[in-house]
Amino acid sequence: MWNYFLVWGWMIEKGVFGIVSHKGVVKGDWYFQVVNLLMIVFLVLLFCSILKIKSSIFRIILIIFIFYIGFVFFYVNYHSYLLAVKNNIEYERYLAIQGRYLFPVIGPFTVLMAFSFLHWFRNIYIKILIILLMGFFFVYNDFVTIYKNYKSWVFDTSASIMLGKDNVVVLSNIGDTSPAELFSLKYEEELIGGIAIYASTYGKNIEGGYRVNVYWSNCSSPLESVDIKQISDNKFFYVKFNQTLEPRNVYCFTVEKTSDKDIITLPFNAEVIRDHKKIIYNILDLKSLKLLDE
Amino acid sequence: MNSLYNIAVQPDKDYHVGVARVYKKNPWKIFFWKANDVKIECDDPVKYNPPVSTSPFLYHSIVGKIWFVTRSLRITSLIQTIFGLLTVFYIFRLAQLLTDDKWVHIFALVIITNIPMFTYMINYLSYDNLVNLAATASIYYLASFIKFRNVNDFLSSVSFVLVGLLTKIAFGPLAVLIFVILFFAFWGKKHYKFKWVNVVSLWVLIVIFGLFYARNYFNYKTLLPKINLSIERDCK
Repeated sequence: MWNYFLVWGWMIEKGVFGIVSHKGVVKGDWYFQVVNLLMIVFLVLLFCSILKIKSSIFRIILIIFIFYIGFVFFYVNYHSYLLAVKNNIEYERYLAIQGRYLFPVIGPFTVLMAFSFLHWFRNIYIKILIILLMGFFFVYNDFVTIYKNYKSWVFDTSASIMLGKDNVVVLSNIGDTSPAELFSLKYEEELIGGIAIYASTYGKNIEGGYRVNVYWSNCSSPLESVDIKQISDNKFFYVKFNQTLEPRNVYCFTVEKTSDKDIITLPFNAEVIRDHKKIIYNILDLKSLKLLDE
Repeated sequence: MNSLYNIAVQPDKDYHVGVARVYKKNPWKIFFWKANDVKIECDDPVKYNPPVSTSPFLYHSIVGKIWFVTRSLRITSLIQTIFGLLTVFYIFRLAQLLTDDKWVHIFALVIITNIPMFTYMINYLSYDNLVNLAATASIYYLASFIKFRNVNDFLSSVSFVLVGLLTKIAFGPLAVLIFVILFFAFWGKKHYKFKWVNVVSLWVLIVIFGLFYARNYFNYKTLLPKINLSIERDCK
């Protein structure tokens, strides 16, 4: 359950502090690292507040907040996850985990967060400094980011959703990285080869210039990075791992553009899934890669 | 930024617009008593699931009536922003209830107005906006009732809970919790000074709530029946 909770928390965070929808806005991993830090600090401060604050209003707001989060986690999402595991339906394991489903308690969350960060300080200037710093972070990553990126948003960049449903990502500049995508391996197979990922190259055969970064399920602890040898148009390209990944685990990957090569698109969308059943496969070797394209 | 409107598409937009359109064509109906009164066009490609007549209707009913008056979906969509702004207002008021520190109030405003998914969501048609408003308002009035013991806050909290339940059944667990807290908070209070507008609006909501869910239960033996969707189509 702990692993599931970490994945759930990550996806909720992306769904609250990112935009998870039919299309979304790409944000760098550094943004979510800062958000992770803020959430950890918030939870610690909240816990300290629980021990100190005797206000009935505080406790009522806190009870409502914790109850609803707990209900959604245990009764809705974790229950669905266990059913999907039991029925061996991989795609449904992380279904319906959306940050907006927690928005009925967005009021308590906001008030508790503001209260937890500020009420420890009597000095007005410290409070103003906290508001300015965090306010700048939030404003920059909401309004300013959308304003800067909405044109590319029109042309099919998006935030990531578990297993790539309805995502289309374009990597055009050096350093562009696809949003972290969670994937899991079939439980009955032990991975000894690698994974195959679907990509489009607008008719080009691209050799090198891209790298696949694999992480643990938190999408921040690195596992390994593999340079991609060749990417062909509308085909799966092969990523051979140096170490064996274990089945039944959830991992995370990004695709990164490392040199000034042609553009690729990672069309992780429903149409590709419909045509190819998946957008990534765990495969044994290059021979089985050819089977995917037949 | 104008183009942002066209590309900020949520996955279930077609459903919400479709149901709102049904209510736009029937502006005098609060909700459909009979499934075959809905009369969706036979070749309408949208899948109206959950059914229009048996699922919570309040949001689509309101949007449909506004759309009937304004004749423009874009102008009608501004209702989302109104719901969103009211949600922000109640969060501000909740912060004021919790503490007198004005910096906490300001900080709460800064946070909520810059949570990306929230600011994005209040710009598209979805019943989530009304549910979020109902939840935030009912929590605010609950807290206000506990603090000031004004029975009008109690009535307002109950009213907003009913609004939430008439909008989306997923509001149910939160509604139960709020009702439980209200019950214990109200227990033992003997003197009531209430405003008639609160009482009348609450009774209207209770009647509509009772009619809607009682009809579902007595006709279909469940609060949210899954009926044959073709009954709501007008296929001759």
